[in-house]
Amino acid sequence: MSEAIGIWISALLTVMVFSYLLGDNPLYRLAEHLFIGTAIGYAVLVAYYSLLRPKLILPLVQAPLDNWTLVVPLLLSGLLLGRLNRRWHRLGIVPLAFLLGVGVALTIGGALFGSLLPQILQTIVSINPAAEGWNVALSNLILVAGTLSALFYFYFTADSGTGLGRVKSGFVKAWRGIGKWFIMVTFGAIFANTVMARVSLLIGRLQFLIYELPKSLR
Amino acid sequence: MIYCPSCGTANKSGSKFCNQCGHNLTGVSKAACPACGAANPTENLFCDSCGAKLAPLVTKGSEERAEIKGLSLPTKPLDEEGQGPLDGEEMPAAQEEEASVPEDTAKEDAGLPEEGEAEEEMPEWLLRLRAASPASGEQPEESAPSETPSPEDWGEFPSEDLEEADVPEWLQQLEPAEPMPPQEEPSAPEVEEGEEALLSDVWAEEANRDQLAAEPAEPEAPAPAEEEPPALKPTEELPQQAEEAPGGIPALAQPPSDEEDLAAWLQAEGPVILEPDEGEEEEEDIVFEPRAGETEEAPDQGRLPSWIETLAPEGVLPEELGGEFVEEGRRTPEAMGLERAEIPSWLEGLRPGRPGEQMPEAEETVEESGVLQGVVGALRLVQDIDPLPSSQMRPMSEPVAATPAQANLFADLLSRPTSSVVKPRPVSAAPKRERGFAWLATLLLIAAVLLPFFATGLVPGGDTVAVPQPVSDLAERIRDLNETDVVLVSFDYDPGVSTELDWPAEVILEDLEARSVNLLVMGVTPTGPGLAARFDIPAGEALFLGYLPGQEMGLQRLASNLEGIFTVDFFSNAVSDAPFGVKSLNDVALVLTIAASQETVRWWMEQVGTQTGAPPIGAIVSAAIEPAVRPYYASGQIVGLVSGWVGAQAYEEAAGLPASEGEGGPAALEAQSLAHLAIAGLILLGNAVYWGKRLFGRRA
Repeated sequence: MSEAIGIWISALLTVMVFSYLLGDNPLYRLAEHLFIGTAIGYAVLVAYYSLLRPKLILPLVQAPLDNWTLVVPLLLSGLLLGRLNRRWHRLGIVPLAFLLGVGVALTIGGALFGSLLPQILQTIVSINPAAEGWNVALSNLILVAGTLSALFYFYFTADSGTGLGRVKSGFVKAWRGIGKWFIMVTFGAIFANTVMARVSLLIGRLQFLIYELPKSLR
Repeated sequence: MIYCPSCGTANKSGSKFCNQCGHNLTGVSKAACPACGAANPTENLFCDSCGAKLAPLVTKGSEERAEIKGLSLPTKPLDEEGQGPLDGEEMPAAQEEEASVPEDTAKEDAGLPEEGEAEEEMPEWLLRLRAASPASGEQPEESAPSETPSPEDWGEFPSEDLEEADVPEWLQQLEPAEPMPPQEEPSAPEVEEGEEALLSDVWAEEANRDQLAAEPAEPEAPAPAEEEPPALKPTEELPQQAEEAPGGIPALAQPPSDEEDLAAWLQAEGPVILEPDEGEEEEEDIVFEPRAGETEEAPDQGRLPSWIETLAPEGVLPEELGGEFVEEGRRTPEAMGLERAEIPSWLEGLRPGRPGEQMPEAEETVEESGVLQGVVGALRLVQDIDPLPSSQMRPMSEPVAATPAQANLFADLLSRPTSSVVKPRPVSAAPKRERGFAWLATLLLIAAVLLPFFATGLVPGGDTVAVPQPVSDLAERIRDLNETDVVLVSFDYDPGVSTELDWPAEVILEDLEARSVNLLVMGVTPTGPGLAARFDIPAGEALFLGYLPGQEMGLQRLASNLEGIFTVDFFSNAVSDAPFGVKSLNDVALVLTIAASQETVRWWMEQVGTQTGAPPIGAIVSAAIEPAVRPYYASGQIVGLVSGWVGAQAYEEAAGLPASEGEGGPAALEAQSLAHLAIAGLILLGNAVYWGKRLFGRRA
């Protein structure tokens, strides 16, 4: 019975969200607020039961002397609440600086070794058809050309129009034109995938109304 | 009376702008209180605001007045309000202070100049005249100061230095044979010969007029030479144009710009002004302070003083003169025996009309509308106002054609009832057409989505997909797992995209369950573990670690110390009680992240994939982020990739799993394919219409 009620509430909220097709209305706003409120409430509960209670409160209550170091994150968390008050907002700088510093350090290190270098190495490929075959060589050539031209597209420095500078300027201009097309094709692919994902969501919701809702009536 | 600080023109009290030049007189018509600074009318003796006496300030200013210089031009008589006489040298801006001077103080200030000063400022020609005058030595000292020029000097001067033809005959006839009352000493104007002719006339007339006004109470008695000279003093300052004339030349040599003012001026200068009207009374220039015992009673306007009658030309009887004055208020030059040629030509043109001449009558206008409807000649005053000189004339604004329409529109808006509710604007034709196309596209998409659920086979091959290499790689990796291996599955998506990712997640979990591998279930998003709890996972083979906070930092710690992070599972059970022990991430055979955001995939790649001994990572992602994740597969950082529903069905085929039914499955894929076709068709149609309009529109 509870599952049927949940299905009906889900169906009702789905229809309320679809009512946005007719324009902004209170039903859509109600469903939107319910979604946001439920998500925040759920996140708070998850954070409490998954983090605060087992890793901060219980250790401090059950064995404070053994876990006295947890006072430091507790204090930092309290200082972070100072951001809510204009008078005490400067106290929140310390925990924010700690969070940003650690986060930036991790991001730089991870991005360098997890994304940048591997992707650069990935573009160092052979374009020799004799060694890789025509298909692979062509694919690699497109990969290299696309990567280089896309990088040239973001080369905004202008060179002088005399001598070697003119040659360089023409070279960069030509590659920028190619890079623009690669970028546009990439954006098109991303857009198509996004449309496909959203259509899947639409189909899923309609499928829910067609299949799941009748099941609850049986 | 307010004098314009710009051009010196006398304007009526209360005037806001100068009649002559349009200068703003609002600041001039007020006198500032020395105590509180409040603006007071010029007639005030005490401040309206604080009651402070305004006289001290004026007295002090009057003491600082400059000496009387030059010719005393026509000034104004004392008005009815008791306004004190003004010094002839006062600047117009100081008139408001002068207006509040008590009468006794004003008399002292307006006295004749000191003897020494008079001696110094007396022109050379005047000194010569005085020395040559036989009457000067005969004057007793007590009656006429030796330094002060006697009336005889005034009478003798013009005839000596000027040409005979320039002296009016009537002036010669009117030369006073008797001592004239002392008057203000003129300064020493250095005039040219041509100017002297005019000045001689003026000075002679000035002397005549002063004499006339100095004897108002005793018209019968001729001015005796022994009599103490009356307290003659100019009442108002010189017009600015007279003061600013180069070389001290009185501005009388310059023709006044305004015809009507000039007429009044000529009347004042002329020898026959004895009966000014009301308007001219204010513009009368010289005020004669009555001596002690004398009354201020005005002389009989219709009758000339006897001493003037004695000076009348031969053949002109006093009765005739008097009758002429009574009837016409003035005497014509012809009546005075003057010739027309004696008046400068530029003044002749400005002379007022002769008696009997018919002035052109202005048309009387009748107001046809408005509050002045029916009023006759209501706008005639505008025509009577002295026009500005052409150089100072401001451009007149003319109503444009749109003005009445705008006025009507404004009146209409004012008449409408006010309302705080903003009414929606009416939708124009173009947005309606666009909204129609939008609704058509929406209905077409919904139809394409719903049709496959009621009629299958609409899209040939729409329910089958080819297995891509990333999917087959992941299926092969899972197929190689043993029963003792531990697979960590991270649910890193939100309920909003669960429709798309639930099917791939279910397919993967089904395959893992079929392989009887141990599962660690967690999530880097707070909602991930909750979504994972919906799947039917045997509790004995899986451990719900729950939510991993900290995003990148949490994954970093997970890679280094998994046991230290998760002490209890999602259901608050101790991780140490798990049926399979996992102390670090190195004990995990495979990591699968089910993500809807490329950020979470990147975190896994950068924080976990870069660790030494890190397990291989597979990704089940939304179709929307597949282009961003695929490079990690191409670089080998991801061992397999499943994307959306298409990836889920491809995985089913690759793993040999039975096809899903209900939510997900062939019907859903066919609906998706049909929807994609509809969208592609709409895009092509839109582009065709766009390019067609551009091409044919250009040709047209």
